[in-house]
Amino acid sequence: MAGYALKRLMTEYKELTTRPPEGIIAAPIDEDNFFEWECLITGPEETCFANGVFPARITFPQDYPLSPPKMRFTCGIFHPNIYPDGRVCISILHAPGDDPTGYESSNERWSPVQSIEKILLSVVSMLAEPNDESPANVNAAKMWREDRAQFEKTADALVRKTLCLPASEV
Amino acid sequence: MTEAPTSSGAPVMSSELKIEDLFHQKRNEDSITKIFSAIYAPVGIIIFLFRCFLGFHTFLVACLLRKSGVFRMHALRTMCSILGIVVEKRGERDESARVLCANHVSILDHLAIDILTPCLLPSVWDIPSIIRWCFGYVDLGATRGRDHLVNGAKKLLAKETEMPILAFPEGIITSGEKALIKFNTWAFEVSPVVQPVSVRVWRPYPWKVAVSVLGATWWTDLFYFFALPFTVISVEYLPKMEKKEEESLDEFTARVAETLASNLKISVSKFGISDASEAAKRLRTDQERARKVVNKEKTSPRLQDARQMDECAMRIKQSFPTFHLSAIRQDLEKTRSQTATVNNLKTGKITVSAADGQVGKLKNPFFLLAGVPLARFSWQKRAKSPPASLEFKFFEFPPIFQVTLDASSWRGVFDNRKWQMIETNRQKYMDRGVEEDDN
Repeated sequence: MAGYALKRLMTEYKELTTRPPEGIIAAPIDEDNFFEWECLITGPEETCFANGVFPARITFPQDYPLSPPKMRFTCGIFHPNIYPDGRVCISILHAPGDDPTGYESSNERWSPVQSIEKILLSVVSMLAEPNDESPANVNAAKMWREDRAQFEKTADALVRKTLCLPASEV
Repeated sequence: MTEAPTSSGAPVMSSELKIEDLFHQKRNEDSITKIFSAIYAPVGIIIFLFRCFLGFHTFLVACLLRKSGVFRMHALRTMCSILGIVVEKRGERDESARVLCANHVSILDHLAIDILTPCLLPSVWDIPSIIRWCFGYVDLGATRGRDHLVNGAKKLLAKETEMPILAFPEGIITSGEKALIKFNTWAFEVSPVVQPVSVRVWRPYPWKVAVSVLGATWWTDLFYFFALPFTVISVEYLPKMEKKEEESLDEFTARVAETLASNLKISVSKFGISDASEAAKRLRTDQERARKVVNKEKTSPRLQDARQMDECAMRIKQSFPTFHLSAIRQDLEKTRSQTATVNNLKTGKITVSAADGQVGKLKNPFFLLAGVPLARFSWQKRAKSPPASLEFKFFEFPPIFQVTLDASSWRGVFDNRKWQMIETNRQKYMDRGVEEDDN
């Protein structure tokens, strides 16, 4: 089982390294352990996350790709679909069986034909368009709905942090 | 204090002395002295060692000879000259005054006065009597309170008919250049007739090392006395002063202080001994804190894993934005220490700069290979769009920079892309800010 998972991860690693999608990079943290990856996602342009470079960790199960990996941002991102501890709540990371929210149709769920790249691209689209119907972070969803200016300010502070820029003057 | 305010409207506060001004803060105050001290140091140490032996003999002589003997006086004065302590005498000792009161400028003041006129100095420390006797102190019970001290001194004067009591009513060593500490009144209570003694101390140029600094220990002061060629302590006996009938103790004390101060051409400050020891304590805690900060920096934790180094690189980048993250991270890999890398940056050992974020400016061609363009998604407003339906442009590397098929090199590629990605986006972000400002 683990052997197949390794082979699959190796293939994806090669694909991501030789043909990296724009604004996304990912690699195993340690070459000895292919089940723990780190990745960087550039915030989509024309959004409040634009130009931010957000680090995250992806943990793969031993039976990958049968089961979906888990993804967790390590930069304290404030977003309706990301739990306060950084875990990403997105349909593609949920296996067809379990549906914690009841909002997701099964064609958006995890299946072995999905890939790391597709997960990361989904996350980028999630950053661009938060889904506040099934929030993982209630406060973020509330702010996103009711006080968009404050939400953008919070996002900008994080963007600056990820770019090693000092906190905003204003 | 000595300078009058330039205009009548000038605030009085501006000319007021701070307590720290009464003391020397540093041994060497100007740079010439500092340089000279460095050159002189080897010679100074040899002289110091020589004088240590000699000093021991002097000490023995001082202990063995009778305190009031004339021979002792001359022998000690000569030996002290060899030790680098030259004692000058001006004015005449008035035998009718049984209390001498002097200003305090060095740890050897009482020795200098003792050589000229053998005298008794009340001990303020609880030290064994043998050591006290060796140094010429007498126990007057100062540690048990002021009344004990005054009574003890009075009794001693009644018993001892020859030697006067020497008092340093300032209670602490000052520079003797700005102002006197407010005098303690005990010595003036002991006897209504007091002879003020002004003590000045100086060293020849360029050995202009302060005799004592605020909070210094006695042995460092002594080291400088022995290591430097010579120090002149000039003792001047002023005419004796008598307490007037209508005068209170405080007034008399103040009058003596004024007389002494005007002889030294300085003033009397309003600060007391408690202010001075407070200042010394403050200085000591400041120094300790500074030392702790230095130690902390020196022992900044050794960075163990890649993650710590990444975080550290990003921290450093905040303070040194002109350097490329990749260069900082590479240096951290070598030094494994934040402090060491920061020092390398400061001293210009790291030259790769990301001044304007242009990859082409980097010297390492590997950065070119690692360049990752920015995300340029055209976000159509399609809610919950399945990711597969999005169009992506893949970044094609120039053929010559193809990533090798050797998987072990990929991690390095990732790292370089990572730093490049942050640098490029950083630049984009800042450019964006400028554009917004322009609009």
